[in-house]
Amino acid sequence: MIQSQPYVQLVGVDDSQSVGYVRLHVRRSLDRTQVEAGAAAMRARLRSVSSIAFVRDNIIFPGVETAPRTPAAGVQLDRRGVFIFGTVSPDEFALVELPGIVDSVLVTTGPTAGLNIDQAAPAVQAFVAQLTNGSWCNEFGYPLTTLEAAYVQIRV
Amino acid sequence: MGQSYPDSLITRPCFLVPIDAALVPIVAGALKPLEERRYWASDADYERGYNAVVEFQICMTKACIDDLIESNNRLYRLLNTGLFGQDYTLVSENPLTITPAIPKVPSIEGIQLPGLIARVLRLEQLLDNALNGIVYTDWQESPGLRLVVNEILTALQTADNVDQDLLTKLSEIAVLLG
Repeated sequence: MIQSQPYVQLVGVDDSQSVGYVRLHVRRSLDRTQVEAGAAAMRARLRSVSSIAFVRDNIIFPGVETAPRTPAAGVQLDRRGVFIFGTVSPDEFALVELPGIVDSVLVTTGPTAGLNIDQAAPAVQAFVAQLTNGSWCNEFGYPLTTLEAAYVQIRV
Repeated sequence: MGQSYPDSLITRPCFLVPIDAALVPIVAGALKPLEERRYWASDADYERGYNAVVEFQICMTKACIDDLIESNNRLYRLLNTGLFGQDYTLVSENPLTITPAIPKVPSIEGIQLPGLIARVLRLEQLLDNALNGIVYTDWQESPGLRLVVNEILTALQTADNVDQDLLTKLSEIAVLLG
């Protein structure tokens, strides 16, 4: 994996709420704090030269796989494994979707055969353990704790 | 104009919506737009709406109709064993096969121990046999206590030098036996 050139997206909306953005690449030597400061300064300047309303910054540090493996024959992005977690807050949940879930981790017996993901499968347990190690959270900042459900969904 | 989170969400009753297992991936996947900020009117609506929709998706594979029906069947078997003493045999786990099958109409034939009804019936027969001397398969004492006590009482009432205190107590026992 090599790191590609970081960039900032300064996202804004027009009068019809259509979304657009200004995309600016950043020198790789800058750290996150410097990039955030640069984005904030740039946003202030843009207000004077653009009439759209800037609503969000995306700061991207892309990584590019140098030797990606070949996708399995027939694999489809839309057939996703959906893993739903509880979090440290009882009213907060987190949904993680995994494109191209492999059939070998699906339950093979009972009413949910071919639908539910086998939570006892070692590969699934390793994936879940990684997601619940305290690093990952839902969209509202609550760290993932326990796996509540895992099954296949078609998500376009 | 985004969608506001319905404030009445947790105060209304829930409906059980059966979905064929083959359709669950499609129906659940179609909920994806509701997990996105742009669907909701405000950040607060989004957070509440996102969590409600995701929690709903947790339920979608947890309340299988077959499981619910089978839980009813388990209750039937529990009652049938407890009340009527019916034995059941697990023939196979997948597909789940248990014999005998649950009949459309319950039968009172074949009541047996250790069922509660058979136990009560047996106790009733024991009492009937002991008191009245009625003979049953398991209880065959004869004559019954009522007759014996009354015979003793009659004999003592006509005898000489009977302890009157003993006679009084025996009369009380005869009254208690009915």
